[in-house]
Amino acid sequence: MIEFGQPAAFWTGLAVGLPILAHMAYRRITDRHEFTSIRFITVSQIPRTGRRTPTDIALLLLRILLFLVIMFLLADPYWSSPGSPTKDAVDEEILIAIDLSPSMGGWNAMKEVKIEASKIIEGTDSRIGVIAFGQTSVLEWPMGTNKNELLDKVGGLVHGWGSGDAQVLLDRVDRIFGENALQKKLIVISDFQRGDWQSVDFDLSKKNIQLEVIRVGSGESETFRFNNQSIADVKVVPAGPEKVRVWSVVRNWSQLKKLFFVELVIGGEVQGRQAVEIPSGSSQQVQFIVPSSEVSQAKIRLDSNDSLALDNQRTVWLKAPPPKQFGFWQDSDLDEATRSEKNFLKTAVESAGDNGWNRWEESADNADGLRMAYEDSKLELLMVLGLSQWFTEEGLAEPLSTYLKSGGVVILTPSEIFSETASIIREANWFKFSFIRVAGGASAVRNPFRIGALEEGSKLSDTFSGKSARDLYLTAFRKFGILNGVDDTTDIALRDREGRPLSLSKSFASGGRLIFFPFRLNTSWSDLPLRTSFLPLLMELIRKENGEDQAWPILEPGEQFGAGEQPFVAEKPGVYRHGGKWIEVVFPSAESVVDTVTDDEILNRLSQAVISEKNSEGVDSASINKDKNSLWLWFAIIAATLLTIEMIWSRPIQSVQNKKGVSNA
Amino acid sequence: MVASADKDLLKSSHLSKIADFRLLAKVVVDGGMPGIHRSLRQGRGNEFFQYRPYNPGDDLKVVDWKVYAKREELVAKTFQEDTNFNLFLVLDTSASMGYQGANASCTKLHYASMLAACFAYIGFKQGDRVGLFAYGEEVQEWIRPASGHSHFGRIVNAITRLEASGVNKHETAWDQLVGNMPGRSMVVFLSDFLEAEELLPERLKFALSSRYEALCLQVLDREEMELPKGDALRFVELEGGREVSTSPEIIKHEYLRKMNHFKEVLARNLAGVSAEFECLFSDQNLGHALRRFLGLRNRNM
Repeated sequence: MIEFGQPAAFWTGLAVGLPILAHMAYRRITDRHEFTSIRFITVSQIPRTGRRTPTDIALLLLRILLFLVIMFLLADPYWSSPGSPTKDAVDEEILIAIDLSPSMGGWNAMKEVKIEASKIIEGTDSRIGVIAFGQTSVLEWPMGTNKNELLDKVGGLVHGWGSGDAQVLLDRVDRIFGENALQKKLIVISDFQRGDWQSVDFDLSKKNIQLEVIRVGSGESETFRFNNQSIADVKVVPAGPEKVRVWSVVRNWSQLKKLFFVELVIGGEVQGRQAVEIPSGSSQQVQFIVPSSEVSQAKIRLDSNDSLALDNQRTVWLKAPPPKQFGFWQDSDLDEATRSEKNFLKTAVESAGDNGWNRWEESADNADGLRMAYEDSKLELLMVLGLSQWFTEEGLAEPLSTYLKSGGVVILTPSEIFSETASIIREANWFKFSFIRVAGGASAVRNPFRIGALEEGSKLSDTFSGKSARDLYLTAFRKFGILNGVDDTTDIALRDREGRPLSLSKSFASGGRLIFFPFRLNTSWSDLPLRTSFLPLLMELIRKENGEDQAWPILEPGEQFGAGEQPFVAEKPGVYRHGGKWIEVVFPSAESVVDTVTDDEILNRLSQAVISEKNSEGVDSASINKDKNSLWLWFAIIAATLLTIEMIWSRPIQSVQNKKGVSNA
Repeated sequence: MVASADKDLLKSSHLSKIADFRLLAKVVVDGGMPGIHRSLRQGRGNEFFQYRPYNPGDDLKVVDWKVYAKREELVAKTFQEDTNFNLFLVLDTSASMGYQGANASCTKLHYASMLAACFAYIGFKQGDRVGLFAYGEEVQEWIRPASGHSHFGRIVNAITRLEASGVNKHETAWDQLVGNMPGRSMVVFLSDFLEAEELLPERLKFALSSRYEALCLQVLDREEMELPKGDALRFVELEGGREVSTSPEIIKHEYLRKMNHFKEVLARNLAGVSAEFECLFSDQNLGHALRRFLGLRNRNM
C-alpha cells in the first residue's frame, strides 16, 4: 500500500500546478509567418483562443501527468506492507523517564515524581521500564522489570547534583525499547527547567515513539515556581593584615521584592548576619570582613523560606588565593642604571594585580633558588636585567633554559655594552639575529625614535586603541640596539617607525615565554616605563597563551580537575583538598533558574506533532511496525522520463525559409 | 488583337510551370500575344537574317555571289538591322522578392523573371540591345546591353540563375547602375520597391532626360496588400529578421490604408521624375505588363 511521508506536498503541488496548467491549456499559440516587411504591421492584442488540436491535448495530458508525478515525488512516497507480528510481539512498552537534575530537589518536585511514577506503574499492564537521568543517564531499570521492584526503586530516588542534560535521556531512550514492541510510549516526568531542556533536539516520531509529558514542581499558585533566592557567587580576598573579605553575590529570582538574611557561618557558629532586601529579578553584593583564623573554611547561607533550598548555601575556603611571584636576576654589583630599571619594573609588576585574586609579589628567595637551579622554586615571572658577562660567568644560561622549558616567563634587558648581551643570547640559541649597532645617544635626545603602527590583528593592536595607543606611539626611545635578520620563529610585537624590532618574543611548547627588549627599561634609554601604556604592554607581552587563573579551582558537580592517574571529579557542593590544591565545588548556577520550557516547546523540539496527527487518523498500533520501502527513486525516474519526452515533444520546430513554422509552448 | 492577350495562356499560374524562360518568352510573345511587337527591320545590320529572291532594282551589293556561282540563281542576303536602342532590365533579387503567399502560384521573383524574359525576347525580336542588372545584397548578374540571338541566350540563362536572398541594397546598386548607363535607353525596374519610395525617385532623375525612359513595375504578392489569414501570427521579416506578433484580422484595415498610402507616395514621386509606374500582383496574368511595356517602347521608336 502506497503512503506518503509529506502528504502536505499535494496541496502545495496543486496550488502551484493548477494555475500553470490552466495557463498552458489556454495559452495562445502564434504561428510564425515570414513576411516581406513588417513596416506597416502594428502590434495588436492577440485573442486568447486555446488550441485544441489532438497534439496539444496529448501534450497537455503529458504535462498534467508530469505535474502529478512531481507532486508524488515531493510527497515522499513509500510502499508499506503490514509486518507480520512475530511470536514475541509485545503490544505496548512504556518507559518512564524521571528527571533527577538538582532543580528537582526543590519545589516539591521529587515527592510529586514518586507519586506520578507509582500511579503509572500500578495502573498499566504493559511492559514497563524506568530511566532516571540527570547530567548523565544515571539509573536504569530495563523493560519488563518487576513492578514491585520498580515501585521500590522509584520510592528511593533522590535528586542528583550535576547540572541536568535531557539530551542524554533522548539519545539513550530508543535503545531501551524492545524491537518487537508494537507501540512505544515515553513518559517524561520533569520540572522541565529551562536550563536542562532548552537545548534538546530529537525526533521521536522517526523512532515511532509516542511522548507524554508530566510536569511536576510547578505548584498550584502562580508564584510558587518563582519563589527562589540563591547565592550566585562567593569569593574570599585579602582585606588588610590578618583579615579577609568574604564577598558574595545574592540573587532574588522571585517576582516579588524579598527581604531575607545572609549569614556567615564559621566553625559552626554564625559570625555575621546581614539583612538584604532585593527587588524582583535582581542581585546584590554582601560582604563580611573577618580575621584570618585557624579555621580554614566558612559557609555563606541564606535564611530564606524559598522553594529551592539547595542553592541557599555555599562553602568556601577562608583564605585568599596565593599571589603570583616574580623575581630578578642581575649583577651582584648593581650599577645605577640597573637599579633604576629594577625599581621601575618592581613597582610596575606589583601594581599590575588587583590585590585580590591576581596579586603579584616579589620573591627574591625563589629567584635566587632558581639561580641556584633548585627545581622547587616557583616563580611566575623572571626578569634578567643588564644581561652581560656576569650571566656567563655564573653559568646561568642552562638554569634559565630549564626554567623556560618548565613554563616560566622571562624578560631580558641588555647591558650598557649591548654586544655582550647579543652574544650571550645568540650563544644560548634563544633568538637568532644580527646586531648592527646601538642607535641614538646623546646627540639624538631631541629627535627620539618612536614606535611604529602596531600590526593589524596582533595581540597588542587589540589591547591598544584610542588614548592608550597614542600614549604608546608617543614613547621616546633615545637608544636601542638595531637588530637585523631576526628568524621567523620570533614574534616581533613592537617595531620603530622604520620597522626595526623593539621587542622580540618567543613562546615555548611548555607555555613558557621569553621576551627581549633591545633597550634598557630606564629613562636614559627610553621613557617607556614612565608611560601609562607601559604596564598593559608589559602584562600583554608576558601573558602566557594558556595561563591559569591564580584563584582556587571552582568546579560544578560532574566536572573534573587535573589529568593523569588521579583526577579530581566533583560530586557534591563543598570544599575539597586534592593534590595540594584547594578546590571548591559549587551548586550549578543554571539550576537556580526558575523558568521552565512550555509543553508546546517540548512537543515541537521532539516532533511530537507528527505522532499526534498520525494517532488522530486512527492508525492502529500494528501499523507502526510496517515495512517501508521508499518509492522516491521510482518516481524520480518516471518524472525524469516524462520530462525528457515533454522536452523532445515540445522542442521548437526548426523553421524553413518561406515555410510557416509553429512556435510551440 | 491586344484583347486576345488576356487568355489563359498568359496566366502566371500556368506560365510558372514552364521552367525554361526562353520557351516561356516565346510562348507568351509569339503565342499569347502574336503581332504585338514591331517586325524586325531588315537592312544593313551586322547579323544575317535570311535569303530572299533578288528583285530587280535592288542594290547589287545584297546579292550573294557564292550562291549564284553554285546555283546560277540571284538571291539577296538580308540582315537584321540594329535599332541602336538599349533595353536595360533591372531586377531586385533581395529576400523579400522570394515571398510566395498562400494563394500565389510563384514567388515574386519568379514572376518578375518571367516578365524580364518576355521583355528580353521582345527586345531581341525588335533588334534592341538588351542588358540585365540583377541585385540583392550585392550584384548578382550584370550583362551589358548587346543584341543578337546568342546574347538573348545569355540573358535568359542569367535570369534562370537568379535566387532571392540577402537584404536589399537599392542605393548602392542603383548608384552603380546609373554610372554605367548607356545612351538612349529604356530602363525597366522590376522590384517590390518596399521602403524605397523616397530613395528610388532620387536615383531615377536621369529619366527626366529625353534620352532615357524608366518603367518601374512593382511586383507584389496579393497577401502583401491583404495580409495573410489567421487569428494570430508572428510576422518575421525576411530581410532583417525583426518580429512582431499580431492579429491580422484586427490590423487589416489599418494595414491596407498604410499600404495604399505607400503606393500613392511611390507613384507620385516616380511621376515627379517622369518615370512610369505600374503595380502588378504575382497572380496577375502577364498581358497587362507586356502591353504597358510595349506602349512605352513603341513611344520611343
